[in-house]
Amino acid sequence: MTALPRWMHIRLSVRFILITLILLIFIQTIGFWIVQTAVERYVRDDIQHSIAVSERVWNKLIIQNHQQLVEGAELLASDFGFRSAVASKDENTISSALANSAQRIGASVAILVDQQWHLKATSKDDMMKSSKLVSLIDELAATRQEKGEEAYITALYSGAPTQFVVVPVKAPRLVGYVIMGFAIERDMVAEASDLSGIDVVLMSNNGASSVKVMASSDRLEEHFLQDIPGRFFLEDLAFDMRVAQETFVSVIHGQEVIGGFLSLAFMKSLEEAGTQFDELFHQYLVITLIGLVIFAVAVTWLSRRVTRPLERLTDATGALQEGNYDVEVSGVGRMDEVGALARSFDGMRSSIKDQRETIFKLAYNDALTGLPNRLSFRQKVADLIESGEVSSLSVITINLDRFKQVNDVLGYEMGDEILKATATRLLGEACSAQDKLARVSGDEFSVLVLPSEDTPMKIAQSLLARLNEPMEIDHNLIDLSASIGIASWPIDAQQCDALINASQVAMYAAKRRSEDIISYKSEFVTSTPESLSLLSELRQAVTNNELRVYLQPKVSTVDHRVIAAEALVRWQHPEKGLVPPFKFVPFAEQTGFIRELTKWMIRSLASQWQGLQLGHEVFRVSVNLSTRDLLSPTFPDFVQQTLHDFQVPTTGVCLEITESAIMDDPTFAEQTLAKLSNMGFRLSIDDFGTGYSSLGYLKRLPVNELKVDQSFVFGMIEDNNDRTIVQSTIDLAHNLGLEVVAEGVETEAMYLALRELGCEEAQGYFIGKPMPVEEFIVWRDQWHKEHGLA
Amino acid sequence: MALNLKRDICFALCLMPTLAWSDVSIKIVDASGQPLSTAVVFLKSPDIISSSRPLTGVEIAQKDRQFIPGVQVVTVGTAIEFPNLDDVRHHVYSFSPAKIFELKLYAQKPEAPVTFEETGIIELGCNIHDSMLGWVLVNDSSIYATTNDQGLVTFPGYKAGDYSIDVWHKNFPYGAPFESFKVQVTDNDSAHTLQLETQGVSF
Repeated sequence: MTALPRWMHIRLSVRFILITLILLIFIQTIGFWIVQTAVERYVRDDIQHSIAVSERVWNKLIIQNHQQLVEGAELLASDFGFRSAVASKDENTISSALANSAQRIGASVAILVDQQWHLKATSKDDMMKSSKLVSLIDELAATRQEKGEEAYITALYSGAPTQFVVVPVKAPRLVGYVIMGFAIERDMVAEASDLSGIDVVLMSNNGASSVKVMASSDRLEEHFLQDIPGRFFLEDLAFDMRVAQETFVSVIHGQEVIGGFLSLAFMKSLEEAGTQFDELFHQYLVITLIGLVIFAVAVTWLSRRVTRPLERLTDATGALQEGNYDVEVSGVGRMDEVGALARSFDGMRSSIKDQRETIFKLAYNDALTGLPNRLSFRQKVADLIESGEVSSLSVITINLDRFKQVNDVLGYEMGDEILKATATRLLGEACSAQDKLARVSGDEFSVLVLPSEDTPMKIAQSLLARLNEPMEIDHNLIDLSASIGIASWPIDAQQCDALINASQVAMYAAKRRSEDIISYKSEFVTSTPESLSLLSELRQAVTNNELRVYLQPKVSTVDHRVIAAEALVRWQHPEKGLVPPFKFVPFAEQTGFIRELTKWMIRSLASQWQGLQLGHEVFRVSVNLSTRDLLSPTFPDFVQQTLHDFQVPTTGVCLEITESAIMDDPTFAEQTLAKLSNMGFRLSIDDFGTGYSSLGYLKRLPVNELKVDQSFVFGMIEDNNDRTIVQSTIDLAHNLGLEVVAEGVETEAMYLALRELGCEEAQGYFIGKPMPVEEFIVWRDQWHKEHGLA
Repeated sequence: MALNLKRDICFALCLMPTLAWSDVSIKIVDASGQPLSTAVVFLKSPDIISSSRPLTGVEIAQKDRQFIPGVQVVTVGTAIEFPNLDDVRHHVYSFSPAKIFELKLYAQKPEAPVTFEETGIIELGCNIHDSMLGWVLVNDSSIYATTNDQGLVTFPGYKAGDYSIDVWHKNFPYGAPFESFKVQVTDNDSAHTLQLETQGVSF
């Protein structure tokens, strides 16, 4: 993701407002610019118009003056007295008449010339000798000749711009001309300016050094007195002129006149002309500002209306993220897009909530019985312990006996029905509240007991009583029994998991001892605290070769020959010394590490098998298999391969399986056993008589021998019942074509009794305790020598 | 009128070559050499001047705001009447040096005629009506004629000898005098061509 510009991170509403306002300002600026441009253009047009008016006014004034002058001159020229004076040729008379007439009409000069333009008289005596006057007259004559009698003639006379008129004097025919000059005065400039509202500047230059300026305003006069560009006198110009920080729209007419140059400037200050629009701009500005404020408020309100619900939705999302699915989503009532968003969001929320409840239910409840499951139960116990609301509590764990068999015989559907019925019974009996009862695994239930209730033992007893009543399901009367374990916090365990575990341990103890209810005792657990480290140490033991194979001899009761041995594992711990099997084998069973032990044992045995052989007969070595071995699909292949690697025939190995190992999953165990049997292994049922195996099973299993449990062998000398059991077992085995091995033979009497009963093989301390392989070989030779079998 | 008639007779006589008396023929051309018509030509000699007398009964009437005749030729000492035939008054004046006078606003006939004592050209105007223009040509000779379209004028029946000629034309500028020439007239003389120097005559 590319980095966004910083301003993009600004909140949506602020961005909204900013963009809108910028847009508005932009539009207003353009509007302002357009208005200003239009106004300036208007002002310029207005000024141009005014200048045109001013030019007309000026020309009108010139014409007026001209006509006035013409009239005056004509009046003079036609005056009989004047004509008489002219005729008299009396210069003084003529001069005085001229002066008189000039004064009468306001002319600045009056001159009389004859018809050949020869100077005859002037209004001022001192002018007569002036050569300038003669050349002026010549030029006037030439101009009149060129432009006609009606031409407006302007000349610089005595440095002043002067309008001249020439009027013929007739007596009666043309006898000469009266020339009259009318100086253009400052008041004419002022008048033209006043009439048109335009500044008028008249500049004259006599070609030498004299420059004269007449302006309608002082500052313009000052400006032009300082400098007048030459082109002002030569061209017609139209441009903007800067005068004292002001811009003047200027039109300048420069022209050459008799005796020099004239320049007439019409000027108007843009700023001054624009003054009337300043108020307009002011109003525009005020309206713009008011508009901006209104817009800002409106946009803020609008954006709030849009973004506020979004912010609330964001908050709601945050709440959802934190697991609060009951958060209220606002804005669902709105009919706009935001409302639609809020509604769909709310729909999503409630949908997630429902799904979550379903998931929760699935996660914390048992689908079959509707009871809380293990997870839920554990959570409840943990919560109670952590909350500190109670000073103590107990957990009762109930496990149905023989449920697997029931399931197998009657079918899973019936099993389910039994579980449901059990749940109902347990609920009805002790747990007034459902949340105290949980189905923690297949056939196991747990009950939470709080100190306010009856003692756990009493509750357990009443529960058991309920369970022991026969149950009728689908017209089948079923007897159920259960093993119950009780553990209490904080006496038996400090932690929740330990507590539950303790109750299970107690339950298993009850099952083992075939008792109904047992309260937890710490002895039940052999190595719990070291369990974790034990596992890793076991792993190390395998890799570091700390394990040892011990062999316990089996002797044929017929000829006392040592014909087989049971391989047992021992652990030569580097620090603890020799660790007895009961300290780690049950743990290995629990954790599944037993599979590794079995494999190690098989490998180890296979490698030493050849060394154990004596002559012609195959010396069999027995290996104990656990349930987990039987349930591992790859196990048979592993055994076969390993034996093949060491060239050990399958008949040289006997696999011993306990009854209970088979009964955990009889179907699969049966398949595995059949496979192993087909491979040629000799199979033996260990600890026969302690489990619940039915004879039907026994018949179907491909076993070769039975090992009578040592508990029966122990008692057979003193207890007749035991002797009968042993006898019956041996007979049964023989009838099924099996051989019988007796364990725990500790005395000669036992040995002889067994021999008498027909037991084929005997094993026990009377014969020999388990010993290392080398020791065993030595012992065997010794035994055979003692019995004369060498 | 009488003079014009006489001139016409003279003109007719001029065409007869067998006469004992010579004719004086004059041709007037302007500055550019073009024949000038309607120029007034005076024939002067001591004899003629001595025989000339002031005229009598000469008048310049004003009718329809015009001087009638527009050009009145008289000898020195002739008194001229200025009868006003119009129903408006006139103020006849002259600023010409040969005779400066004015007849202030009058109707019908002024109190006295104006006598022209000096030779010269007197331009007449009316102070009321600027368009009115007339001339009085005062000469010491009474012999004069007006050029025809060929610029020719002929004075019949004069002996050979030295003569002076005065010429005037309407287009002469204001104040310009008669332009004078000397001619020597011989028997069987042909026309004398006189070129005017006065400017502004040509059209």
